[in-house]
Amino acid sequence: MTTLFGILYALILIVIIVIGIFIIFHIIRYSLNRTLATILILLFISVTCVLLLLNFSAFSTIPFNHLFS
Amino acid sequence: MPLFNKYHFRGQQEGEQILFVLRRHWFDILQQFFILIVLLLILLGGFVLIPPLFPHVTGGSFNSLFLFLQTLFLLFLWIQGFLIWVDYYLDVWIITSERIVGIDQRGLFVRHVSEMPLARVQDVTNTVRGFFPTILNYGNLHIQSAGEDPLMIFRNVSDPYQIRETIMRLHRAAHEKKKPTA
Repeated sequence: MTTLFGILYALILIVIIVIGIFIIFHIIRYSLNRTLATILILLFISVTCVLLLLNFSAFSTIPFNHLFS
Repeated sequence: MPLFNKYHFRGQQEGEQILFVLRRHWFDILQQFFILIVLLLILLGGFVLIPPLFPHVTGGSFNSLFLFLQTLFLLFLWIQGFLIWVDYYLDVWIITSERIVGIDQRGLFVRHVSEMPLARVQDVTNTVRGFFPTILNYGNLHIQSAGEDPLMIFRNVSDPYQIRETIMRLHRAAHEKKKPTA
């Protein structure tokens, strides 16, 4: 059960990371203002990383075997 | 124009100055953010209200599952908010000393770029329709030319009347510049 949820969660993480890469790519490639682009990218990366870490730590503490027993 | 001297776009020619950079009115993006703000308030409400009201859901084994779902929801809201912002930020109309460049960004995978030389502008009309556009003074601007891309539309831009006058003034100046001197 834990493995199944682990795979599903990995898929969610991959989707989030791919979307994040596309967002950063668009800002770098098409932004008119370099300064604003840098600020936006730093903001996006830092907040996304914090949220991902929080989410991952919450996921790793879920007792799946206990929940579905 | 010192305001836009730090701006640069792909395909900008040497000596070409950016005079105006126009984006959709802030109310347009606020409408898109509204649903996210409501969902965020529901999430915050859940953080505050669910633990005292349903202690059996948030206590014990379910606590980490509850926290996981909340942080995942917050992550989706953040990503969706940034997607809306990128769509707004990259959807832009640039008026330079030579031409008008329209960049229409739709999501992450559709991007339409068109341009129109100022001297070839034939007609500029604006439409302000609806309660909020009338109060907040924003609307659509239709620019017609005889070129390959005959119609360019600025959607939901601030003060379309002023922009229309500016484009016509720049068109007249470009037209005068093109006239052969006698």
